[in-house]
Amino acid sequence: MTCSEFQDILPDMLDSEAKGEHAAHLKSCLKCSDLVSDLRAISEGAKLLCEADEPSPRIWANIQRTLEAEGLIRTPSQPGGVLIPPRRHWTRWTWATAIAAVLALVAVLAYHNRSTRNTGVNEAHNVSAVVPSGATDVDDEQLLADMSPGTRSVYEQNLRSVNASIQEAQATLQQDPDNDEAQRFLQDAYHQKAMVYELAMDRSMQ
Amino acid sequence: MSTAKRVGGVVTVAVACIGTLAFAQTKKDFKYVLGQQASVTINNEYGPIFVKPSGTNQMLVTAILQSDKVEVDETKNGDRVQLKTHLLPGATPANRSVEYQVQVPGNANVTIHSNNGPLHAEQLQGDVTVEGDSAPVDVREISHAHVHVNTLNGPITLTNIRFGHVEVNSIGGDITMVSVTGPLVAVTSTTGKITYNGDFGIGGDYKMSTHTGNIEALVPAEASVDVTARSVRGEVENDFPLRPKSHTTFLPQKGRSFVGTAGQAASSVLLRTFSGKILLKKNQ
Repeated sequence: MTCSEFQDILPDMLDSEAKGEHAAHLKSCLKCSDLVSDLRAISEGAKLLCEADEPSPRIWANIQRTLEAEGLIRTPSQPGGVLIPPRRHWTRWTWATAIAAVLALVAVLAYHNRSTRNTGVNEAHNVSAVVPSGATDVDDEQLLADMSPGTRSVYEQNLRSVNASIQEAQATLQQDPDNDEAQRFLQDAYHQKAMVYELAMDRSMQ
Repeated sequence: MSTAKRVGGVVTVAVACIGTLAFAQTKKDFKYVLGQQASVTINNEYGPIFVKPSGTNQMLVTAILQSDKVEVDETKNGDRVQLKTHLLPGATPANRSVEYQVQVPGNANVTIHSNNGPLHAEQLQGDVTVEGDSAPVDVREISHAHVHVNTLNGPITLTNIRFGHVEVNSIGGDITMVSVTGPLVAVTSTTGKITYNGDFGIGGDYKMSTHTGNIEALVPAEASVDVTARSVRGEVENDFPLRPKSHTTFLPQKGRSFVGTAGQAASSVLLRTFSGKILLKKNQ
């Protein structure tokens, strides 16, 4: 059996043991043996990746807490929460897309809500209890997890800057809920954070 | 010189040559013929991208690959061209860079991305989108087009952008604009400094905002502007002769905000910072 003949039937035998002349060729040919070994490793890795990148309920719960803290959604009456999606396989960065979209939504809704009502502002700024000023939050850590050390350092530094700006605007609003400029800066800060997530997504898709 | 020393010298030179060849740069040229409003996208993970007009309907690319551990993937569908740097096994920070020197039809829409850059686009008439993490960005001599720039902490310089629809976002990079005008110029930063040197054109909407950075606008005396400057916790300083406005949407607070007009107040200028300083100065 030649290498070319063996590689023709390769896709069919990746998930099973080689038999007969295929097994004999594998034993005698280092090149094909290495190829099979590599393909099986990639296949196994891909399966793990699909599982690992599915956003955990904790992430959804965190987004939900943030939206509730901002007063943008109400606490759900049913267990499981309004944001917990049905289980399905997510591509590697689908969750990051979702978070970026949610951040942008938070920015828009935060401004809209504060522009149309002046009550309940105090309870709308509790995120500082979740994320200390300038720190990264759970979603950020998930975003940073797969990055190389050099890239991670750049993104972490910038996320800390954005989170600090969110905290600063929120702190000002706690003292002065009617401060329209602080409201706009809070909206801007969420937009900036969404941009960081979008850049990370673009990078991952290259 | 003894024979042994000569042989040693030859061996040393040979080894050096082999080493050089192992990391030798290679140059690859690409050439395309494109139609009107072609779309060009270049993703270069590490290394610079320089884009300028070709003056014809041709797109000419010279890619200088730092080593054989990187390659360029090309795709052309109709008038859409995509070039992408592809790292191969064994690529390291020392050998993974590619430099792109690109000439495009002047009206092509161009999107370029690099993590560390630098990124440079000039003399184009199509839309320009530039993205980079820490990449320095330099965009100049663009007219009648959209210019969108996003960076994390890469500094951004825009020069001679005329009649542009300009949107710039950076988290920590300083943003410098010289003679940038258009119907919309929106610039946002989180910690970076924003510097504007120009006349704000005629009839545009200019919005500049930075959270902790400073804003400095250097404006000629003949500018026609309606200016609002506000800082939540920082300070503002005005060295430009503005006429006071009788009606404002907020009560100006001395040292924290000012409003006023000059000339026919043709362009709206909004300068905002949360805790930085805003300085409006007259260009002598």
